[in-house]
Amino acid sequence: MKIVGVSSCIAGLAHTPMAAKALTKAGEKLGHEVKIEQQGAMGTIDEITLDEVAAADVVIIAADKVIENEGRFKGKPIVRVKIGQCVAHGEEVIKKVVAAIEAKNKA
Amino acid sequence: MIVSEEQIFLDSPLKDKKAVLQFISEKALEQGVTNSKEQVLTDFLARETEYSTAVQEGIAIPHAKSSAVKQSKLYIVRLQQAIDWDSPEFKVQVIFAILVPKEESGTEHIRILSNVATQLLEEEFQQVIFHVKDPQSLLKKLNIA
Repeated sequence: MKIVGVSSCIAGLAHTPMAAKALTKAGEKLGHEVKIEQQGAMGTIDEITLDEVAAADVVIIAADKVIENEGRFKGKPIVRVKIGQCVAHGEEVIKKVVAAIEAKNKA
Repeated sequence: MIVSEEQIFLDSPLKDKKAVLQFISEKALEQGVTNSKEQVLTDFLARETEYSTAVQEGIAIPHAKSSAVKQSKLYIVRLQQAIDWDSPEFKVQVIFAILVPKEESGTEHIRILSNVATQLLEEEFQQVIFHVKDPQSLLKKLNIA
C-alpha cells in the first residue's frame, strides 16, 4: 500500500521527526511505501507532492495542531492519529490504517 | 556544543518527574543556559500538561521552548530507578531534556536535536543509553555531528 502523511507537534522539536521516522520504519518492516512530511521547527521536510497524493491509498495525519496545506489531500481517505501513538506504536498504527483501508476497499 | 559531559548525569537518585525537571532547570542556571530556572521549570511543566513526553518504554523527552533559554542544550539524565512520568503506558528511566530559545527554528541546533530524537527509536541506541557506563562513551554514540 502507498501511504503518505504529515507529522506536526506543538514545539516541532521531537515528536514531529520521531513520528515520521517511526511510521516510515514501520512501513519498511511491513512492506508498505510510507512517506511522511514533517512540519516542525526545521520547516517542512520531505514535502508530499501532488503526484504522491494522487498515487497514495491513504493519508495519515499525525498532528496536535492544524497542519499546513491540508487541502491537497481532499478526496483521499484521511486517518487522524495522535502523534504520541505514532511515536510509541508506529507498527500498530500502520497495521490498523492498512486494515481499515482494505476493509473499505472490499465494501 | 549542544551537549557535553557536563550535561550528562548517569544513575541519578532522583525519585519523581518534578524533581528531575527541577534538577535540569537548576543545572541550566548554573551553566549559563538560562537566567531563570523558575521560568524554565514552568515551561517544562506547561509542555507536560499537553500530553506526556514519555515516548517509549523507559524514555522521556521533556522540552522547553522558552524565552528564558539563551542557547539550545540537551540534558541527559539516567535514573537509578524507573519513575512515573504521567504516562498511562510507560515508566521512565532515561530523560533526554531539550532546551531551545523560543524563537529558534530551522537552525543547525534544531537539526541536531531532531537527529538525536529520532535516534531514540533505534533499538541499538536504546541499549546504549540504558547500559552505558560513562558520559564519554554515551557522547561517542550520540548522533550530534
